[in-house]
Amino acid sequence: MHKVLIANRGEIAVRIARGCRVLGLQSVAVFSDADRLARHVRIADEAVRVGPAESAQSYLNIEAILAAAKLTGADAVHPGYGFLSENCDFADAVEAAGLIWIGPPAKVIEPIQSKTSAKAVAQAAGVPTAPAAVVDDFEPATLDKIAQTIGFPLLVKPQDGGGGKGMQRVDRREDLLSALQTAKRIAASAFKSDKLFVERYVEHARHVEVQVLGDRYGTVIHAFERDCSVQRRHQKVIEESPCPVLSEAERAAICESGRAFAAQVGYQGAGTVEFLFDPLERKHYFLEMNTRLQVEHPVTEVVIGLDLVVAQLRIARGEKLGDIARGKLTQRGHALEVRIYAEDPAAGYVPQAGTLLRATWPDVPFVRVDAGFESGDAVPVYYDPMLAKIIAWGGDRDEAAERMKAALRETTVHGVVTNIPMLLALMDDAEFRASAVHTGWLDATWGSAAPGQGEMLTDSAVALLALAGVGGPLAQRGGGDGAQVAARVPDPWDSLAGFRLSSKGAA
Amino acid sequence: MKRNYQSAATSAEQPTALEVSALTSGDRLQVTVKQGDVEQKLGVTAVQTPAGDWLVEHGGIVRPVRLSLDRDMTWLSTSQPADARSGTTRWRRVEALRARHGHGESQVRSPMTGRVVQVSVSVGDAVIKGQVLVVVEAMKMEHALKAPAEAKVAKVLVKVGQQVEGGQELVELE
Repeated sequence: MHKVLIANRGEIAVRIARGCRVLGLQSVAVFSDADRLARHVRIADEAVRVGPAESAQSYLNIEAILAAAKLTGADAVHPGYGFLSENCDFADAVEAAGLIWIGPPAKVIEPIQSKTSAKAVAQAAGVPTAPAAVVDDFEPATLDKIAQTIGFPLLVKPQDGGGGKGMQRVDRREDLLSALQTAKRIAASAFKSDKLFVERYVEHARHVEVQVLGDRYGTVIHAFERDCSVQRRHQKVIEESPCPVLSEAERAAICESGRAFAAQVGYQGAGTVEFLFDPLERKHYFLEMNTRLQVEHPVTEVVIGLDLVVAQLRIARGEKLGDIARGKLTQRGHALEVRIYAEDPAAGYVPQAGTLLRATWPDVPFVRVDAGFESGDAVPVYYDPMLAKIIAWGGDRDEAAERMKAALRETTVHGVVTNIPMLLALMDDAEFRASAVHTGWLDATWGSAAPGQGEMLTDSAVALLALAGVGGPLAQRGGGDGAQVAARVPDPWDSLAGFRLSSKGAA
Repeated sequence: MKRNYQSAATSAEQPTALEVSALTSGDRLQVTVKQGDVEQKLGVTAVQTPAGDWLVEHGGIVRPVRLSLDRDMTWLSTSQPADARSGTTRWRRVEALRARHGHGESQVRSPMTGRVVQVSVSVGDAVIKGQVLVVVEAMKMEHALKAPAEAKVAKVLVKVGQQVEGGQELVELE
């Protein structure tokens, strides 16, 4: 393995290119027309255009991506997360083209892609699952049986779904039929099949997931757990490791369940086994397995000191886990991750697109930033609006939270509105700080609108606002390349003579 | 020269409106800020660093400020006391006349880059507070732009299917 093609964009493509660099491997980025100048293109060693802005024709275009690998002589493909990362046809096509697929082989992914067959695998591995049933028809007798065996509240889920789409909580027998009909409609339009199943709904459940790794020689290990209970409509907002509410015995049990599930399918590469944790019953239930690198992988990396991207690459080139993970499987301290989104939580979380007039990421001790964008970059309307992730480590959870606050306060993003004010408010929230949260908590607290940008201006800021007013368009966009000197553009309504924007300190 | 700004904070029911003016002499700025009937005067020194940050000295204390300009929008960030949520605010330059009438937003703007999927009003329509004027779609999410107060539609500046940019004016109310 010498050259890795990264079939992705944004922060994860940047992250993977850096993992390649650590191992002395060349990296190849792919880009759509909307990403011609994007940061992942600038960080990789080489880049190839794969199509127009629309994902379907670029980042999901298997043919164009394989052609890019051929053109550049790449001998391996890393899919990142999202896009083609869990697409068996892509994994097969990569291997058929004689390239190394950095991930589990299609034959490993296939049996666990559907939620019902994954459940069967869990049961075979002795991993606990929540009471559930496949819904074959909507006859009253069938629904009565569901009410009896599963009980309420229950959750209706599309069998081949993901991202929470089509999922619905039902509290009463009389609401079951309409909920199933709605879910079937959504599933039919969004997923491979319109098949549904129902599952016992765990009240106040936490989302706990186990990082697993498998090599090509049958060794499967776990790399501990993450807690991602702070979610908005099933999208994770804050992730952390370790899970703050587990006892040592509970942690050992849930991590072993994750390992056992992965071992059952002969897992290869890095993956995540997701569980619901019932904080009252103190039980965990298998949810699903994600057969790729997760967005939140850095919290695990920071706490155990293992580079998961490098581990993926080393597994793919045939190294043994015993060598890769030696001495790196102890949890130390606590890590928190927040996702910086270009969205306005105060206006119903409406996504933002535009140019980052400025993006200054924090530089705080024990804080890591995985950013996909810099000052001057475009945030296209076509893709997920996540700009960056900030990961803070602390000796304990409180220390990590205080460092996160310092990092968020030091972050400046101009040009698009972000969720930073909401994240700062979350870091100070009493329930969050007490770990008294569950997967429905954020929706119940700030479901449709959350703290947004304020209006507070300091004297210094007011003065600059006034200066910007008289100066007309200051030729000051982005900033940060070190050599920029402000120039003043003549302004027709400015009658002040002799006014000049100073740049003292410039050579 | 006086300039009028309005806060672009979407959480604000009644966005703060400011009238500012500045007299400059070298790095010195004599600033007058008026909010409602309250007027404040400030004397500061403002210099820009080679990296683009601003340093504003007021009463012998120098504070860093980050500023970006985008058409009629000014972005400002300052370091904040520990209890503040974030140091970034946005200010839109508005016409003096509108700011004086105190109607708040009479121009309804798209909050994002996207596509107009619905135009629910025509010129001359009387609208009530909260009535949907235009629906914009981006990233598969629809966003309804509503009338901030009772008003009459003065101009409709977009059509269904049209691509619009964040901040672009869609409807003007009077």
